Amino acid sequence: MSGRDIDAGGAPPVPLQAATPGRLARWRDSDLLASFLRSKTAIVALLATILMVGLAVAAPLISPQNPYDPAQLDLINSNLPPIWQADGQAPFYLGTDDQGRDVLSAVLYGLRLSLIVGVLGVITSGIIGIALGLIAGYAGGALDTLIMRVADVQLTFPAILIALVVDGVARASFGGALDVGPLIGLIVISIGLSFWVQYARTVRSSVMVEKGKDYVQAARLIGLTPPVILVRHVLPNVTGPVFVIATINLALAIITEATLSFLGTGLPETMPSLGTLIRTGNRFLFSGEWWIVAFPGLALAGLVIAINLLGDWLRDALNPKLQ
Amino acid sequence: MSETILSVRDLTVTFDTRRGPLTAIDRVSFDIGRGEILGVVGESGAGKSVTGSAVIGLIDRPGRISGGEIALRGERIDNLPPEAMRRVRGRRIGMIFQDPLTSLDPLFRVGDQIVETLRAHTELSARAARTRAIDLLAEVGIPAPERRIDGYPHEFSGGMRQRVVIALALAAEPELIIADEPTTALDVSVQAQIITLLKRLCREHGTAVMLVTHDMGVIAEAADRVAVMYAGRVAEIGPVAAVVREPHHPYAVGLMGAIPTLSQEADRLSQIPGSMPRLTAIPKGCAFNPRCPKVFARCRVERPEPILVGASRVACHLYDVTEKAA
Amino acid sequence: MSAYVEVTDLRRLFDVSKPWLNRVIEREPRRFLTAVDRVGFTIAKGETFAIVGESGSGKSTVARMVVGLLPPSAGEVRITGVSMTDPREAAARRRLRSRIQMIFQDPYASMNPRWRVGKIIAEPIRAFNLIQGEGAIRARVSELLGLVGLHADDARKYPHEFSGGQRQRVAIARALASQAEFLVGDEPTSALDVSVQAQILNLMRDLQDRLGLTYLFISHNLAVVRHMATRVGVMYLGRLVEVAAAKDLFARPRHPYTRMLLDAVPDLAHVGRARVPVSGEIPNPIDPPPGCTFNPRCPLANDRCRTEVPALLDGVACHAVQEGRA
Repeated sequence: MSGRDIDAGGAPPVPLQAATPGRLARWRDSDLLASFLRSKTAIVALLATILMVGLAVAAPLISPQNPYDPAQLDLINSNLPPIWQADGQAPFYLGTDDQGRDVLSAVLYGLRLSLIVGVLGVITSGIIGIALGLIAGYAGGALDTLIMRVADVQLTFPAILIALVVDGVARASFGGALDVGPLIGLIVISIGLSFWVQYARTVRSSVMVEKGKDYVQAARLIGLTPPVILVRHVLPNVTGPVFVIATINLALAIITEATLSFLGTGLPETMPSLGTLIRTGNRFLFSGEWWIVAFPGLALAGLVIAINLLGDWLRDALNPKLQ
Repeated sequence: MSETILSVRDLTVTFDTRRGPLTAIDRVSFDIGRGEILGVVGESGAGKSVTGSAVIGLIDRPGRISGGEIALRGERIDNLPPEAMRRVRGRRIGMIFQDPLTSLDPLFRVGDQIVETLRAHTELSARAARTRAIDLLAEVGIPAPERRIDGYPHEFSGGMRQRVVIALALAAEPELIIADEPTTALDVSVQAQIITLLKRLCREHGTAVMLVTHDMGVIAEAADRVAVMYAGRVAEIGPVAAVVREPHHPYAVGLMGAIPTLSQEADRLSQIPGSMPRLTAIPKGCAFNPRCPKVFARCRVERPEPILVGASRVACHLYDVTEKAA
Repeated sequence: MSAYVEVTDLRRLFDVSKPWLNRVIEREPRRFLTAVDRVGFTIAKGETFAIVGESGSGKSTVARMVVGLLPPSAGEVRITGVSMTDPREAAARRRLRSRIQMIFQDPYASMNPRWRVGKIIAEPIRAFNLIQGEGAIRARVSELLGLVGLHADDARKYPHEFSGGQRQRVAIARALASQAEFLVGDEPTSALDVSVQAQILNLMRDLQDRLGLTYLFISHNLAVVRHMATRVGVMYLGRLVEVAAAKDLFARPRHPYTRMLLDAVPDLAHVGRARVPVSGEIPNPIDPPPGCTFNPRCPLANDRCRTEVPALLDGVACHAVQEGRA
């Protein structure tokens, strides 16, 4: 009862006499930013994420060693503990593994690979899911039924299983030895095919709501074709939920990559991601060299938690029902 | 006017927002007598709904009553603690909202909801309460009430549901009913039924009614007196016939002229230029001055206080005698 | 006077069946709702034909079929002689496309909130490739904004920076951008406050005079229809029950439903009027009464009305009128 008048009277108090505000000003005045500044969790999560991404991007500049370059490894330095322990020595701050590889460098490079695979995986699953969701929602009828039934079937398999199947089929058809480039592509496609369903479902239901709205009807009367209407008018109005899913899925994609690598079907030991590092480090856990597995594990956990918290906040901030 | 039931004096409601406090209601005063229907009319943003919420103590954060007094039969109710106010609502003030579906719990039989209200606010036994509920349903014109009392809200049509809501509002024999857009969600042919019912019941029970609506037609048919609100202030208040036929405030004049009617055939409707100011930008002086055809210097600096003009009170400098003498 | 729009025997069914699996399990047949049933009328060039009706009357469905947003289940719409459905006339229809536009109830919902108003108004110009060159398009947008009473600088603003009335002006400017000559307004002023409604109604009449526009005006508000229309069609539960010149319809309503509606509308002219409210409500359109759909509420209904659907003869679909009983 009290809401209506206030909404109508005071909702977006934009001074009319002032020049039209630019995008920057609109963002500055937006509720999203205000909500962000109110949430301590969100600020911490964003800072942590930015830190991780920064470290990953700057890995070649800041890490003491290039862990992919066998020439830089020296067996003399193998199995050194972290620097604060008795046998620790610079520059191996977090210790080394059995190859003499610096754990800190390996973690930084692994973070980089994990993030690249995760982001590409999210983009791939997003493109597949959004496209199918748009088509299903707008076309309706048999096409809609077909796409959504495929999605239903897909959902009954765990994502990791699908990724394993795709991976296995591809390896079988290309032979065992794949270069790192194609291998990353393969993992990205596996992740894309595992995670598209959520995008498709969300986009489809949003499109079904949006297509009945007047602006879509108006666009039809203006003589625009369905693809133009979908991309130009409908898509921008369904991006909110897509961003939320993408953020949360980024964490899932990173975990999926780590799982694949841990199971041995992901990235090889010569070019380790966080998952590969955990797998190789796992072997030394009981012989006392805990640092080989602990630091990659901590990095992975920190990255995933930070991204997840960011996604949770974004979901709440964009959900009008919770405000 | 007979005994005063509701008395509102200089009511001010402020919303504390991130961008500073906004005054949604600015020194609003009115009285409602026994058995009287006061129409509160205004366009969106005029503050009519907020006024109704303030009277029943349902202003949600970040809003708050920041000034003035609300008295029910001489007792102040604006400063009651929440628990005491909750007892006043339902027992002494009934409520009717726009959408009957939202004020009825879909999972309960309509009779149970009325019985629940009766038992919460009166000493009636369960059996007596049910008999009373059937009487109430009969009184609001529900056919076969002894059977319909066990129906669920979704089994009633829109008009019948609004009748149930009215029965619910009347259940505890309140002194005052706040009706916020009670006919807006209904079809025109049903609107008339509800208006007639509301009028008859408040006459018979001597209930005072505050009828909040944007529809001047509903006010014209239902209300005894009407308060025209603009930008959180009362522009004009008076007997409905006077305000509709001979409005004084330039906003009320413009509003009446802008409404197309079934009887007259004007080629052009009179129109008020511009639109209601936002709460963030209420003009200095008289809030209506930028849109007023009769604006003069004083309107831009000094807020007009209500002046008695005929049977109405009008907040407009045009009617200030000292102004005319000058 | 040749017909600009010709609607014959228009029908539209909506499938309201449960999902296939539920139907099989619960052994229920498919169910259809007849939203529009054998509706026919003509609109002459330059006139305003209004369709008035309450909720469920099918008036908006008719509007959507006329502009081609919704395919009819049966019947035909011809505009300037071109069929809106016949695939053989697709080429002619494409040429006609830009000349038919629609104005919606909620202007904000009908435009992309992320676009500046200039881009919104220019979109049909680009889509139909009406004007080449950015400068020429900008000039045309400025001209259109001036035509609807806005300023050329407003092109740089976003829709949320406008009030409701100004947004409806933008929507009208966009409709006119494609050189439309036939505008369908689906409750174009229902979401607006009365003072703003008057501005938009006046604007629509001015534009009609200046540009020779033809209007199909859909509304539930009889007073607005009386103000705007040259001819009026009254719909009830998917059927056209009366068609007449606006003057005649409001002076001498013939169909019992029209009479009831005119009597029921809360109107400014009815101050303090004691009324006999009409009884009953609109039945569920999924399960309409047999015969004349108005028969359960009609004081003149007899056995024939309860079994036989009356045809629209001489502007009224009523057995009682045709038999001289009314």
